Amino acid sequence: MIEIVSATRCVECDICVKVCPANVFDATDNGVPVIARQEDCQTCFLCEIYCPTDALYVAEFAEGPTGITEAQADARRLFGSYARALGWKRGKAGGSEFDPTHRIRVAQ
Amino acid sequence: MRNGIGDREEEVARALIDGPVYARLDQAEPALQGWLRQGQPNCFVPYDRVGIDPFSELFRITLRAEGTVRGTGGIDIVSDDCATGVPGLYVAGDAASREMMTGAVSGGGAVNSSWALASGWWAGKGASTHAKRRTGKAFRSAVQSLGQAGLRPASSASADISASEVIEVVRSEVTPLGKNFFRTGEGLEKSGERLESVWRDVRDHLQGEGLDRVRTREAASIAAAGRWSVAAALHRTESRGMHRRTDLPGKSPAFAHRLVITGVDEFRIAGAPERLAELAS
Ligand SMILES: Cc1cc2nc3c(=O)[nH]c(=O)nc-3n(C[C@H](O)[C@H](O)[C@H](O)COP(=O)(O)OP(=O)(O)OC[C@H]3O[C@@H](n4cnc5c(N)ncnc54)[C@H](O)[C@@H]3O)c2cc1C
Ligand code: SF4
Ligand code: SF4
Repeated sequence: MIEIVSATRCVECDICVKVCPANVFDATDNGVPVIARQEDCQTCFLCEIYCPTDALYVAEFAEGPTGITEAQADARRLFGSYARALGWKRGKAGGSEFDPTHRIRVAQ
Repeated sequence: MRNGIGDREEEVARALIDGPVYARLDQAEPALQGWLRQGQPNCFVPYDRVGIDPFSELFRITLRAEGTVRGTGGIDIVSDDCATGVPGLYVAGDAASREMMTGAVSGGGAVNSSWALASGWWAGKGASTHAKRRTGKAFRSAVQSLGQAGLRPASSASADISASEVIEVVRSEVTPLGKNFFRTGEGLEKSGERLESVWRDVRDHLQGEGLDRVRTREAASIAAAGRWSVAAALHRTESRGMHRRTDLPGKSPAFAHRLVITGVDEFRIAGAPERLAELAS
């Protein structure tokens, strides 16, 4: 579930407001978006990979908030970790060239 | 258990009804672990976030009901441009029926994405051709809203029924493993009655305002789909693919075809063997 919008990282582009399929965020007049309907979050991680500055953190637990804080996520280098694992860089898709699944298929 | 995939999913489901079930991916060699991580990053990020090494530590598992996502079934396609029985309605991807390709099993981990792309292309072409034939003022002024359940209730709107309650009730009938992984005629009949009464409440009284209209309409779709799926499951007096009737474990040749449900409020169920005959000719 979406847990954190980091005000120090966010550049207020409102991309997360637009991409979220469950309409969880609300844009604000002149500031960072707010998590307005957290209970609607589907834990799809889309907002996190679209955010150009890795300012969002979606926790793995889908049934309810875990209560993780920005300092904790920061200390464990969790901001942006999904985009890094996927190979997405600066909001651009990519990384499938590193996918070794075909090798696993051959090994089977 | 060493491997819980395939036929052994049934054992996993039975164990889950009895209590918590744990797993560990301890059959992956170190090289394979790396490949799995690289090939399926989305599978491993959640473990990393909890702080578990799934290759050496136990983690709790469950089975998820996925509805039509990854599954099969959907709105029936009647022509090669993905048109449906409703004039002007074209369907693609998860919303469209896929049994022609997947049979009675899931198309997940298989053909679903390519189906979404291909059917999207065909449906887009079909819909735009349909629209092109009907451009102009006459068409625009004749457009009217059709949606009923969840938007324009048949009787008076009531505050006693909410979208979240409807979804809760439908879930409680269609997601529990004891009711829907392992099905029985008796259980399905009970679920059917409950869903019928939910459907009537939705049809007659559910309405929302503003953004809530999306919610109430979604709840209406969920109630309709739940009701259809339980009715179809009751109709299919055999076991096949993901449909497991514990009271009727064997396959019946009389059911070697799809079931098509027609109608919303009042519906009928019919087999679709004629389609198979056409394909074979
Ligand atoms: C966990 C998982 C693993 C999978 N693995 C595979 C695989 O390995 N191989 C494979 O081939 N397939 C796989 N699939 C299936 C495949 O991803 C789907 O079949 C495919 O993405 C469906 O595409 P779609 O465009 O039909 O639907 P979706 O991608 O679901 O698109 C539907 C869109 O409609 C939007 N929407 C919903 N309601 C409204 C509304 N009222 N108004 C406006 N918009 C709305 C949604 O936000 C969404 O963006 C997997 C699926 C899942 C969930
Ligand atoms: S996408 Fe990221 S940077 Fe843009 S508004 Fe949302 S949190 Fe801020
Ligand atoms: S994880 Fe998905 S549903 Fe949740 S807030 Fe982000 S985009 Fe929306």
